[in-house]
Amino acid sequence: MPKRRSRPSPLTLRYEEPYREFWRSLSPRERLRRAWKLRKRVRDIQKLHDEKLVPRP
Amino acid sequence: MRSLFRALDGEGVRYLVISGQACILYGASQFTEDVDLWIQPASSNLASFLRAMARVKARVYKLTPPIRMKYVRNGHGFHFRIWRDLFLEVMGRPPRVGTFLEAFSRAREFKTDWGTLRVSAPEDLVLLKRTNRPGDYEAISNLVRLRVLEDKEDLAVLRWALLNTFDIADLVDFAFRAADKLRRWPPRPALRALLPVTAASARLPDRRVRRAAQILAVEMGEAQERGRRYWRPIVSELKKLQGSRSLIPEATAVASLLEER
Repeated sequence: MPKRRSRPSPLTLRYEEPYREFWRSLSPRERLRRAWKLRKRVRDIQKLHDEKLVPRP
Repeated sequence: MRSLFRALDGEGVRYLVISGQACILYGASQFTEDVDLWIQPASSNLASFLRAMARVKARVYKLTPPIRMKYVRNGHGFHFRIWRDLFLEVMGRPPRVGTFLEAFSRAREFKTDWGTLRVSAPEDLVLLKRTNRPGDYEAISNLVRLRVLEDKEDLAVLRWALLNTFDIADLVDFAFRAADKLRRWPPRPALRALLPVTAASARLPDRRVRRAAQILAVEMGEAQERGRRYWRPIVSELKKLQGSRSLIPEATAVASLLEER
């Protein structure tokens, strides 16, 4: 009987990427904390928001 | 942020956290610049919401129509600025999803530094995220993947995942997981292009995978176009309101709107 080749799951492959795996391992509370810490580092949050609110044609 | 959600809870507002913040809580995104809420589209809830906004000294931001049920029902977004740089967008009837009460019953609660937040379920979020912005499709696929990881053996979840992912690697993976288990494959052209897939298949021919990836890209483009089309009548109504100077002037304090009511 031919031996079945094991096919690595893209799910597994995806989360071998260290940062994504790390992000997923955090609690929702911690993810929110970190996302807002990152947000504080954005120089012009209003500009970023306006670009989404009123997209250029 | 805690005071915003305290004000909402204090006034008994029925709301759901949606979009970017919701995706962060689920682990599907890492950044968003604003907060989006879906509030129950009922006049009493709208009044409670406005009282909550007044409590946090919110001001109206750009492109906001009169805050009345007519515009809530027409699908408009209402924009607020709170403190210096918190931007809040609120809708009562967001696109592509069912009723608020159905979504509210499916919602999940997350304990955060802002309090316990009621967050739209992944099943609703993936529909809300089918926007005209290409970046939202990565978040959709992440949400789908995380939902499958939550319930690996649930065939209903797998079927839903096959219909909603925009990631070709995941589509292939889900198809292998579902092979020989689903009575019928869900109707999706990109998935059809991959078939037949059986549990015994070791590999799929490259041409089938490439074809499925092409169809996924087309599906994504069509969803974006539907997203754009959805907004046309709403934008057109906004322009009319702008032309007749009926939009709420930017920086109007919500407290002053309450006095007028």
